[in-house]
Amino acid sequence: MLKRFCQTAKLRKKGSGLTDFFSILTFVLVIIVFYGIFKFTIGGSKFEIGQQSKSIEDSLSLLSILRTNVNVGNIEMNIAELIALSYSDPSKKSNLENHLIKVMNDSFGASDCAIFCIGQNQIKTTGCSLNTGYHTCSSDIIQIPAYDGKIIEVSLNSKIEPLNLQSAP
Amino acid sequence: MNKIASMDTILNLFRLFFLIIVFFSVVSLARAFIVEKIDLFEIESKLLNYRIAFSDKISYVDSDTGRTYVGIIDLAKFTSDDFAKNLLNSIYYGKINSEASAKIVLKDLDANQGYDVFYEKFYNKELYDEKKVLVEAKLTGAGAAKRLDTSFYVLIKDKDYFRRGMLNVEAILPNR
Repeated sequence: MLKRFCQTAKLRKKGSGLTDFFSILTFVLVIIVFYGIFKFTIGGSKFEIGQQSKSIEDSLSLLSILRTNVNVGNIEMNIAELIALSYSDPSKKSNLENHLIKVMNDSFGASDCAIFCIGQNQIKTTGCSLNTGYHTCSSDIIQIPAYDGKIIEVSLNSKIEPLNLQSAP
Repeated sequence: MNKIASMDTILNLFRLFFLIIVFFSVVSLARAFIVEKIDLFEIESKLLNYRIAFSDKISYVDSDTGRTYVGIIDLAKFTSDDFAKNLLNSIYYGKINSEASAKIVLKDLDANQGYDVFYEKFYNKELYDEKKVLVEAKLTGAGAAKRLDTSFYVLIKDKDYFRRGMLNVEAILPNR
């Protein structure tokens, strides 16, 4: 049966089989392109909604962190004031880092990773190990005026998932 | 000659079969672009969690200016007997609320009493108790329910003192 089919195909116009092959190939390519477009358009919109909601949670947490009272040299002040103070007095920086790490460890959990950004500097919790990779802060930026009139920008990124290096190819 | 004609018929049948596959593929691809069902659970439950966390029934309100301090939880409001009723009236889902429920837990991080201090309240407790059983049973489909937790770092205003706290809102919404 197959032998007869092949013989008949040989009798047909030359190139007919070749055209069939290219039509199937074109069809398969069209399906792949459509699938790619579908995957990128639908998948993209869901991601944006998720990112927006995380920004709201981080922004509220950031606001509360800045309002948190701390004791610096027997003086009560909030963390926003301590950030402004440490900008003009670098000796207060370690004090600020210790207070921030304590607040973030207590609130987000010592085993989880959270990053507090002050300008270009990042203060990380003890849960941030080397395999958390590079992250930026995702919350809204809050501007704090320093004592010399300059503006310090602070933001937060909590609940950073560590990179799973085991499953990487 | 007759054999060639029958083979032509077989080839045409093969082409027709391929054409049918092309047709069904195009139709199924077009259907894939038409979104018939959107899962809004995550957005709806997050919205409820934010409405609770940002509510003036839970946050400290300056009586002089009327300003709501989001992120500062007024402990007197939170522990009052009218809390659940006030919250239910302010976050309105209809007279009979079968749409949304939540458990609100406020953890005091500065309690210094040797143990963790929690304050637990509910939004629409009847529905929460009813649907929590279904969530724990891990049932799916219409009539069942899903849960979503959201945590916020907050400050607790206890009279004139501010303490650190975590506000955890656990929304339970029925499936549709």
